[in-house]
Amino acid sequence: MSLRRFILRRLLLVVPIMFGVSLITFGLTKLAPGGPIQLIIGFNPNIGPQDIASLRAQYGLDEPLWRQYLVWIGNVLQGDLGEVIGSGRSVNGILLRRIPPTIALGLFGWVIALLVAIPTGIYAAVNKDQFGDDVSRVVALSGISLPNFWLGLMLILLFSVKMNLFPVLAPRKPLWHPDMLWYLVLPGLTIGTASSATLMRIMRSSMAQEMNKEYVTAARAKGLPERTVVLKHVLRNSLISVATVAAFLTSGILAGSVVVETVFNWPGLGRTLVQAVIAREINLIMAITLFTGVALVVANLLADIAYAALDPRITYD
Amino acid sequence: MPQENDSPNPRRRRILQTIAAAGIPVGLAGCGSSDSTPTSGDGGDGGDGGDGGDGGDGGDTPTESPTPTASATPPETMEFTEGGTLRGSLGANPSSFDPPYSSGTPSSEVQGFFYEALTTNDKRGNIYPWLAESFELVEFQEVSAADYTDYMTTIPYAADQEGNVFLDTDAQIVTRDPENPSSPSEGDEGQALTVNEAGDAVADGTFGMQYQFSLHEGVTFHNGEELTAQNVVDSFVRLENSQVSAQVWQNFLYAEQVDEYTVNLYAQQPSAEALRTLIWSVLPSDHIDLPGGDLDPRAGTNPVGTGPFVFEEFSDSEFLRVSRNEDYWLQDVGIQNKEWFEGPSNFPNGPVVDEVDVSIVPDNATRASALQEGEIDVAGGLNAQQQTNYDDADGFNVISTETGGYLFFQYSVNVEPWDNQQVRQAANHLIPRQQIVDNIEQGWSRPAWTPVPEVAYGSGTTDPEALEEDLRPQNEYDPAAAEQLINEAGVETPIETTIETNSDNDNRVQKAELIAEAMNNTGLFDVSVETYEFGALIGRIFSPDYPSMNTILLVGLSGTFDPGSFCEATHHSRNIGQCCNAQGIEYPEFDEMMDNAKFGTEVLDDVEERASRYDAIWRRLVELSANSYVDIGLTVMVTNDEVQSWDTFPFPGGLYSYALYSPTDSQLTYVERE
Repeated sequence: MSLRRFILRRLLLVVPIMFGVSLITFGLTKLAPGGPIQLIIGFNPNIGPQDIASLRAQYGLDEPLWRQYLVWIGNVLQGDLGEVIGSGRSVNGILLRRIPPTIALGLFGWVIALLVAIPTGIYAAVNKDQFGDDVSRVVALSGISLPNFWLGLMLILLFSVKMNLFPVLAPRKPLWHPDMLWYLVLPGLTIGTASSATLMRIMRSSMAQEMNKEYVTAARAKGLPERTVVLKHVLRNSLISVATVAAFLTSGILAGSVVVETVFNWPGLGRTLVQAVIAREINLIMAITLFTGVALVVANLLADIAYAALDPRITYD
Repeated sequence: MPQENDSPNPRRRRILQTIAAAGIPVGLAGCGSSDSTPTSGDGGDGGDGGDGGDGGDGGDTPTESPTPTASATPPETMEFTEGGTLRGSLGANPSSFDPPYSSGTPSSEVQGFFYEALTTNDKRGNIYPWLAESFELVEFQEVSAADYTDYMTTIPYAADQEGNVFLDTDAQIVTRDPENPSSPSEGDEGQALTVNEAGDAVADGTFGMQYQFSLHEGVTFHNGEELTAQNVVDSFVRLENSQVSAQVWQNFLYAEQVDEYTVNLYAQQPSAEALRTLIWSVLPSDHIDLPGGDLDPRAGTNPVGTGPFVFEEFSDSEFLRVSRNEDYWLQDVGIQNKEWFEGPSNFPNGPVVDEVDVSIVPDNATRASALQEGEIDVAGGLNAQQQTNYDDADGFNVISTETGGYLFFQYSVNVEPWDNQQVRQAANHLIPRQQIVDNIEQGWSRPAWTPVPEVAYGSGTTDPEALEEDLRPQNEYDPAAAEQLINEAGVETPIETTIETNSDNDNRVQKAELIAEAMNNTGLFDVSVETYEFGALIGRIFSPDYPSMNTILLVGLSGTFDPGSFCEATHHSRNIGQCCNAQGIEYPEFDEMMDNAKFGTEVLDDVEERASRYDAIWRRLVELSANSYVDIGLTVMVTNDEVQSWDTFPFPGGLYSYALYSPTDSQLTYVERE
């Protein structure tokens, strides 16, 4: 199967996956008690059944669930993600504004995770069972164990409040502005820490495994410098498993954005999702869930494509 | 470092000092009327009254524009610095800039920069003419909903998918026929007065109250349009079938332009709170026909009002920037020319800060860090520990005012054994109010020995101290009294129940757990605590089954300057299934007491009478114990020391507009930055 057909097939799979995701999310959100109308009227003692009914009818919430879902999916297929009930704002507009900051944060977290994980993993593998390896293991375990919200707050306290190195609030600059990139270091570290710890352990074990293989012994026997053996031969083969895991860690980064964006006041999808869930804004919840689902499918697809780049023996079937 | 609690409530002492410093006596003010014009008496003392009385705490609405008090001795001049940017913060994104299509606190906060109304009020709730040069109560008469039947139209009932039955009309309903079926079915018919017929009723002289407002001439909106009476009338059109229409048409009947600068507002019934419910933001012509919610920069329309600040920039979920209105109408009128103004002679004709830049920071730890780091100047909504920390820190000021709200327990009065009054009274005796205030709130609230916050003292009680003396023994933590009451009730113990509250408020959850522990320690009760995310809790408590569940609901209520707001929402049968009568509380005789304290010419004309009726209500309310009141909170704001003269309004939603410029209290915030 050609790469193009493989990609096409995987992209087509997005359709049933997204349908399932939307159905489950819609059902779960509707099953949860409360709703946007109840929150609007919740603390207003003057609103009577007439007003409630009027509000419900206005937003189509008086229709049966199946019809609400069909109306919603019909609108989505036409590119209309609906509106936020509490404010009447377009979900499309909100999504367009919130996606870039989340992608920027995610990429930053990714880069930090890879920059930390790969060299440290290599170091730990080369120095397997030595002191450096033990230290890296402890650091990795700590990194996986630290909750995002705590780490974020501690980083703010230490580097922003105590050392005054970073601003607490994001600068009001374009995403690509150097000040913004500087600001992203702390949230990027927070969101990338758990991923980097996981990747580092994968890198270390994968590399340690590769280093025991015969081709490494042969390379060494040929008199190749150790640096060349490790970085040219072993590293490339080790990266296959890292690429696999890294794709899955995308979900961790997206999930982490919910907490990290809240702690760092980053105006991305994660913070918006929290607000949407609190307000029971189903259109917004659905839209963000769909976007997250598509992002995960695409990340896995990219990982699959990366296999081929890293290992020509892999074929698409 | 936490502050030591070396007094029963240090913060409360500070609040009282603040009030005393403002020269406003705490307690009931004298009756505000000195002539034959009937006093509205709603909400309190009529401001400072036409009689040159003793100054008005208590949030009363006057029958005519108040004049300065004889006793007040305002400072001759005040010091302030002009210019600079105040960097504020909000804990949530404003959902809308459109006044009729938003009800949340952040939305009200940002709208306060741009929009103004015919009247304004001080922090005790007294009402003063603002866009109006003056106003007067022209006429009132004893009228009820039944008197409007001649003007009502017949409207069929319809039902939605969930079985809610309602009068099916697109026209805004003003009031309904009391004779309409109490449990209508789809297809039945009912009678209602809509906005289309309200003018006919008024023309025939059928109305409860008529207020007349004379507008200042030359007031302009930010877009240059001059404010006229037509703007006032049209602004009510925009309120029709909006998110706040139920509040508006609670008592509003009709708006009528008399001439270019005179407008009449009519109320359906004579009510002590009528004036307060008739006042809404006045909008320019451009805004009137916009679809609901479209008055929002995110929808392409920037807010335009008459207010002291002009919209500059808004980035959704990030920040709002406003600048001082250089053409503010008050500069032409002059604050010194406002009859009621009694502040310093150099009090400015508008705010003095050049710009307000409000960052939206939902996480309170981040907000606290940004304040500490100097990235923002003002933060509110911090938790008790953070407030205490800032209170002890150098370079920061913590300014608090008792809020008009409380945390309350609501019992399932329709479920055994909670249908027994003695059981509820016993539970009430097991709420460790003082311990809650000292340990959980760290002094940032006060025990609710009575259900009346200070904002409602004016017409809410004749003597707050006597009321507290009377009711406090019934609200004290007293396990022995609880045991005696349970024994007298003759119910089987331990009594099982569940306290339900929202999980996103840590202090509230701690309070629920502390109360449950106190109840369980007696062996009389077996109480567990269940927490729900806020939206889930709201959905749960407004379900029809909720009153039949064996639960105790623990939530907060924010009232208004109207003392009735502290009993009606939680007790009146018309609020069953709505906020905040979730447990189906229904005592017809108590409903009547509450209605009689607000509606009718007797209380309209006599503040003392109204206050005495509320005294009886509070006593009956504690006796019934359908609800228990836990503690009355403070509205707390923290500023750095570059912010000068900040003061905090008792209700969230107007904190910035009040602090930045409020001549009613000679309140002016300015920035001194190096």
